[in-house]
Amino acid sequence: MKTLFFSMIITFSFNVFAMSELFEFSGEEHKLAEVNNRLVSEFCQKKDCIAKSVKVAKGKVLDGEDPASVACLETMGGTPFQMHDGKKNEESVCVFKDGSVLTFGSIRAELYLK
Amino acid sequence: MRNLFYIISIVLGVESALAQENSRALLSGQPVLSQMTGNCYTHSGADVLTGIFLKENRQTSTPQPHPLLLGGIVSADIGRANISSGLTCDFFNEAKNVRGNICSVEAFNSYVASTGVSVKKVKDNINLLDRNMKTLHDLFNDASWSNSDKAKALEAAQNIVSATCNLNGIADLDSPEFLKLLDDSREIISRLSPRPVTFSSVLGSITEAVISGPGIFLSRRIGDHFSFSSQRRNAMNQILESTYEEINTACMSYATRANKPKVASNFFSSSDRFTCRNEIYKKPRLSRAQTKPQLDFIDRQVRAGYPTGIYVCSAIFYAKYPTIGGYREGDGDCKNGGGHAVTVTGIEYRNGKRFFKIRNSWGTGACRGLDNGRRECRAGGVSGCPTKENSIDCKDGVYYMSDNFLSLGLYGHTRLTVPRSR
Repeated sequence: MKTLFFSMIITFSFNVFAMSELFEFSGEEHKLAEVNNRLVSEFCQKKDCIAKSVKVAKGKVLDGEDPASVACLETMGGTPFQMHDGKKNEESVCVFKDGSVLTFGSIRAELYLK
Repeated sequence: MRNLFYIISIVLGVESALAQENSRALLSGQPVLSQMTGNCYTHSGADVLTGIFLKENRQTSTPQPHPLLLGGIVSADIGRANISSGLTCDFFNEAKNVRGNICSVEAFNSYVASTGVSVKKVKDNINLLDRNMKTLHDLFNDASWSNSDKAKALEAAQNIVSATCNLNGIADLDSPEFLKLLDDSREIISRLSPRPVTFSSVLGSITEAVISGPGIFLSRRIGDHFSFSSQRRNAMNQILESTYEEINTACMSYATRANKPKVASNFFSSSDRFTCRNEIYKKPRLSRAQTKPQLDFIDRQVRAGYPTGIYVCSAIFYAKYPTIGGYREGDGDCKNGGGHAVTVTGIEYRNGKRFFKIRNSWGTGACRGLDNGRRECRAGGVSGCPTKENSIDCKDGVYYMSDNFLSLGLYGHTRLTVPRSR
């Protein structure tokens, strides 16, 4: 029974931590971590970075554009960048001038909150 | 040790069976995409095309054309403004006529990475082109231009030149035809740029007025926009088209060299016999009971094997409100975020409730927004907040919405039709 418990933990843990890293299409790996309820570059855990403190504000969305992308470009001073999760599924991030990244999922999570 | 092996096998077997179950949903073999600087309706339209291809060819997955490239080429073909409505069928009906090869999602992403130029740069600049083309199109529709219109046209032309220069590192954009068209943008800039008032410029204007006559002189000045409206509109389209085609050509050639997946040659022709119609019912605002026939239609179309594009108020993906008032204005327009095109790819029942499986184009991390929205609703102490069990769920960027919850934000869907045979 104990073995069953541990093996299930091992198997399902792969799903739980699925978003702890993203890859560039050139192959480079980016480690991510949750800081201030945002998924940002892992190095933001140890030092200041723009991604963990930048204010998320809405931009003017036209013709079905992604609101996270518009916010990144127009109000947050970042640049959108496409990455993937290692299984060809895409996830976009906002890259800031200090090299830190903030996932679009995190931006969206704040866009329509108070 | 043997026990551990058996147990892991069982667990993996269960997971595999669950995956098998999920794979029955349409497009489940296709990777989750993130539109980034593209448009939602090009993703939704590409998904409907993909669904038809898979069904007609009895396949479970296929390399999809990159929605950004496909969207760009189709937009340029027909004039950017024509599909700016953001409705899936407007895009689908034009895209299904494409006969050339469009680079696949995987090949495009790898190609851009291989050039050393970021996907961001490509998409930013294509987006810059697209937006400014639309600005010019809109301006060309006006009979006369105010000073503010001229300033907008000037900025748009400058952005077009800038974006095309930036894209030149990715694809060869210096064919004589392309350069000529680029010159037209520069001409707009030249005509509309503010000129310093100097003695020689005043003298030049007086001379021109004397030679041509004051009437002609004034009509030339006021009517600047007329003199290039139709020609320049076409020229601008060709710039956009040339840009997308050059990038696509370079990408295709990379795909061959690097042995990357290619879109099937019959991808678009598979949709030949289908016509897509946008069914819009946002006005008047429908009650939940009134949306049932629409939801039943979507259900039937999906069960028949065809992904169905739907138009919803994007705020429902955050599920911050329990009632329709949080998502819709009194006249049916969307509140808190505008409209969004996505695709229904499956139907499933959870505790007796029907849920629509919805493929969005916001990437794998999209579910975080939903988690926060639901949490905020609960924190506000409002009763009837959306829950995973009753309203909306999300996993790996794919959403599941119940009848009642989808009704709060639904304002349209696609209807695929096939002409009756005689």
